[in-house]
Amino acid sequence: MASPGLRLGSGEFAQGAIRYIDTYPGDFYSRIVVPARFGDAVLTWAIVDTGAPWCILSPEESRALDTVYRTRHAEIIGLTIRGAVCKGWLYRMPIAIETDPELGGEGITEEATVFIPELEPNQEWLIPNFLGLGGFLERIRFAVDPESSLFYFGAL
Amino acid sequence: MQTTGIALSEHLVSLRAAYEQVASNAASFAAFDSAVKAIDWNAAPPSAFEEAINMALQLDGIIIARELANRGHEKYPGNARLASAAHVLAPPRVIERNKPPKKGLSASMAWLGKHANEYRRCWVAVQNGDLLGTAATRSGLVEKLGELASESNVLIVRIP
Repeated sequence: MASPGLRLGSGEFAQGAIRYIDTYPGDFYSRIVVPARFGDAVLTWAIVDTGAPWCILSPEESRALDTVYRTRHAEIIGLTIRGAVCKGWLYRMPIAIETDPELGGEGITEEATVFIPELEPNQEWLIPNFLGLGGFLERIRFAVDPESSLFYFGAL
Repeated sequence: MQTTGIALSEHLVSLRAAYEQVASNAASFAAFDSAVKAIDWNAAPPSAFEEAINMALQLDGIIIARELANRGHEKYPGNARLASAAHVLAPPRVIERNKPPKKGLSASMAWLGKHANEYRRCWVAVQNGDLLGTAATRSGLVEKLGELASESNVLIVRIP
């Protein structure tokens, strides 16, 4: 497999790259939005956020996973998101960032910690998915090339 | 973490006070960190670890919560709550390094970058840069797509 070719110093920095988009609908800020696979089944998009303490997956997408997060190996917490405290579960699950044959390289999967919100009846979840520094990005290499809109990543 | 000779219960009172101050923005996180470090955790019961982990998590103090969970689990390996916390709060670890590329992911992201605003408040499915379908709910969209939904390069997202 061809390498995406990002090298720093004497070693290879990245093993793969994926094209990101730099806006998120309804958001006024520049963003880094990449495709990410949560668990085995949910290929979705998520905002890369080095300020986020955890990754976040929406409740509707969480329901598509075969998880038992409410009863097993989970921590219930209140997470402050955009000024509001959201109740939810911290759960351990695989997250993959994948590549595209046109860019070359190989994808990577990490066992990560994800916050899954617990909604009140009839409450709608409007927050995007996030890939946080805590629980995910903290153990991989990553870099961004705004000129080509490429997000580079690699295992340590 | 120090032994100061002061009873654990007094340290826990100080820890709770520090937590309240940080939670109400009356003090910086360093106050909570110092209160944690003042406790002799070798003498702490499981309930003290659990309480401190909960407080650290509410303050987004991941590193402290992780350290306490590890330490508590090491000291009380039979405690299910501490075992669970150590598992969930462990640092992420790479479990697969050579995942094969998925055809058309970049094209699908490019499609979203260009067209997402036309499908506000909808769930959309995109594959190889082509729109496969839309629906009001994810489950409705998956049902509509049938077997196609489980193909590994079908991106299903909600446009806010």
